[in-house]
Amino acid sequence: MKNGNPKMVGLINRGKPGFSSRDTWPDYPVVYNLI
Amino acid sequence: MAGLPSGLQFDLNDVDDLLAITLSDEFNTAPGDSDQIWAPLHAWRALGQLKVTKAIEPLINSFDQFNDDDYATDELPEVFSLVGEPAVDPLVAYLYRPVVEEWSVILAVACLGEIVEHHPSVKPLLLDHLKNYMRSPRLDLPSVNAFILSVIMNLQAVELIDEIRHMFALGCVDVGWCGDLEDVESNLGVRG
Repeated sequence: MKNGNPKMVGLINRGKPGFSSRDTWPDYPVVYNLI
Repeated sequence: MAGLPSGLQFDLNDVDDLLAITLSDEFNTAPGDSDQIWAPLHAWRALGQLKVTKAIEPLINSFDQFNDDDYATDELPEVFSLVGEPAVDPLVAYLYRPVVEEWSVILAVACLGEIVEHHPSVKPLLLDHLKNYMRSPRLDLPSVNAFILSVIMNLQAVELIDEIRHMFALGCVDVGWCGDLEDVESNLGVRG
């Protein structure tokens, strides 16, 4: 993060998320089941 | 899956940074109208999505930190639900820790309730843990105890009726949360 990790910069800059539904909040294109 | 941003393909290499943001005083105390104040929320969501067992203990240890955070109350149970069964034992262990804020223990119980709701296979393990706890419950945590009974009622775990009656006999249940013994027995269908 302190080294300017662009993913974290992008995350920080996202600001307030929408809260129309809890079901919508896993909204990152992450890689699942890595562990 | 609305509002997908591009370029945020998180993976396990990001876990340390995501944890740092989640727990950061800098972000958690940022001005209310800033983008930064929302960074911990985005970070804990990503940690949940990654199902990172490494994040379990640091997140649990942060419960007191999020004591007055409405979003944490609402979302951390969902985060732990995404992590699933590996979070059960550490969350149960939290019931026995020295308590700073009772709310934090309630949050741990809420996380357990959310996990078992989404992972029914966890139910036998959780009920076994709760049965042990209820035999020697914390007398200083009546709201926690009531919340545990709420989880048990949601699970319709009538097999714990002896432990439930034991807790009420000890007078360590806040009946304002879950009702009195008659209410709980009626809910579970064991009152004649």
